[in-house]
Amino acid sequence: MSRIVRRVAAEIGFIGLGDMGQGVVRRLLDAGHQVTGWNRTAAKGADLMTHGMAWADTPRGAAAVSEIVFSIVTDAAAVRAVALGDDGVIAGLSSDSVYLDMSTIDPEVSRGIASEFAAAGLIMLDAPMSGSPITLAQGTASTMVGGDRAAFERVESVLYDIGSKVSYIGDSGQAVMMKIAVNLTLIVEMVAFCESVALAEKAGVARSVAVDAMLKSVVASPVMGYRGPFILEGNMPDKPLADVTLQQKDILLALEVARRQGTPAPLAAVSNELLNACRGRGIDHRDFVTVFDVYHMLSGMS
Amino acid sequence: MSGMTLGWIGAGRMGAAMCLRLLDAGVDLSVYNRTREKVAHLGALGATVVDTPAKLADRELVFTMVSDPTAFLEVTTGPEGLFSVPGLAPQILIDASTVSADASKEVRMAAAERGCQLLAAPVSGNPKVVKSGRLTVVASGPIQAFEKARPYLEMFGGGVSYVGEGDAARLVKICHNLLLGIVSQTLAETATLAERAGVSRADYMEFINMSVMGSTFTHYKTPAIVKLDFTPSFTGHLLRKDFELGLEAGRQHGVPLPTAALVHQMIVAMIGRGYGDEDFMRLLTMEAESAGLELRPEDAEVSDGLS
Repeated sequence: MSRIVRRVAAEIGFIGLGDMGQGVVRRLLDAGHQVTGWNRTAAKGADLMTHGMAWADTPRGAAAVSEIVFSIVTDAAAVRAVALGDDGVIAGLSSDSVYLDMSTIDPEVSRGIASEFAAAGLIMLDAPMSGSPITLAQGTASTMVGGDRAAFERVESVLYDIGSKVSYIGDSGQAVMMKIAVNLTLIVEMVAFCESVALAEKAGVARSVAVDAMLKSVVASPVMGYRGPFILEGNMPDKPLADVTLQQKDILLALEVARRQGTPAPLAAVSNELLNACRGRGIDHRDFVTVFDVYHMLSGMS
Repeated sequence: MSGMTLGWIGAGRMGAAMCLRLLDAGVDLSVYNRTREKVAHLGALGATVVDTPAKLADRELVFTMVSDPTAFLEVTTGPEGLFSVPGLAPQILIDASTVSADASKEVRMAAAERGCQLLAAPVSGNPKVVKSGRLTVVASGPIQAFEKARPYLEMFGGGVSYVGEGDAARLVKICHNLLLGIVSQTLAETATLAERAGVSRADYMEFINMSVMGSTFTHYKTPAIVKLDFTPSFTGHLLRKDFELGLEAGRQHGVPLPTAALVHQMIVAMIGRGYGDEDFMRLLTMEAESAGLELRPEDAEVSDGLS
């Protein structure tokens, strides 16, 4: 897909300033855009405001001064809360502006909200990102977009300012569906990685050597590259990229969609149970690759 | 015989079979069913048939056996429900249905306001199991209420287990249904493996039923496995629902259930394949299809071990 280069700064509203939201806003400010932000807990916007971000008192206020509005919040209830209602994006957005929700939520819920925007003569796209604060800072995060194609083309250049990979997936809800499918692989892949390293380690290969060999092999992937080393002694970050419970939210969405349409997802199901073992053992506050500790224990190494 | 007066709400196939056991034992029983005609045969055998659950408020011990939480709330806390008569309520309410924890909690509180104690008492078995006197009951709730009710629960014949306070029995029933699904999937896998090697399903099941692995359950699923008769005793949709309750409980308590999770996926696939309204033993044909094996009904004489 050819990149539409746009050198004019856009006026952008941004709802949701968690770790990912802050990372996106930083890239948008760096690219020269004007950003007006809102977050439920205002303190999370303080640092960005010293870097030039303006503040709005409501999602509606942020939408009213913007031609493109993004949101990235934790779950479906939070998306509904910021998108709809008297203080929501829908109350401030103008008909020639575009709203993109980057949250990972049930595709049916996403489609439902988009249809409420459509009924008001407004456009909402689903635009989830694949990546972490690390890939985002490196400029390699990937954005997937579902919904009105013409609207996507209007905002495409701004999406390239967020990350170097942008894909139009299909109709409303299909991008967030794809994100859920991608995260299914991400979780299963990292659980399998932990299984492999435990196998090699018990056979006598030093864990650091095993991790290094995995990362030099054909199975290495971006996520394995930055998350794999977490399982080395003393390397588990105090602040997880995504803790066990947060990561389970995505796999539970995958299992829910699978259940609804009658698609078996046995690998996702068993991976989820291994994550449940992390909860039972009280290590679920760590990044989800702590599932390595479950393998370590089960194989009698600790 | 302690001689309490009993009431029964919800006499469908399962409930009616259980009422017959109580009547056989000479219990003083009044019955309410939404469709009155369906319980005429119980009236002929000595039960008093009433028009509303409210008319059972003067009974000392009342059972409920209904289809879902909404029905459970309707027959208890509804306008013509068991608790709608001022100043009058049973001492003990025993719910034998599968209902949600929320509905159970609501009814327990409504019962307590009227001095009535709720026991949860799910059962294991189908109407044929009841008739053969092998229905088992798992109960939870106040111990004194359980001791009073125990003689009546024992009339179902298969044994009664008391597992503690509150809704513990409902979780035990969910665990039971996880086991049921997992055993069924394992029977499907092993019967397919044996058949691929040239062993008939009738011969395989005959051996299993005689072996240490044989059970009441393997016996009564034998006709379905051999004859491929999937007239539902319990549908794929219902089993899926119970697996989801079990997996959710596992997630909440931090207990990994990898085997249950895999079998859940097989059940999801069975529903995706269009077999959700048939008996869950359809897992057998799913397994055979995955193995590229076409099953045919076998002509052998088999028993379900109950009749």
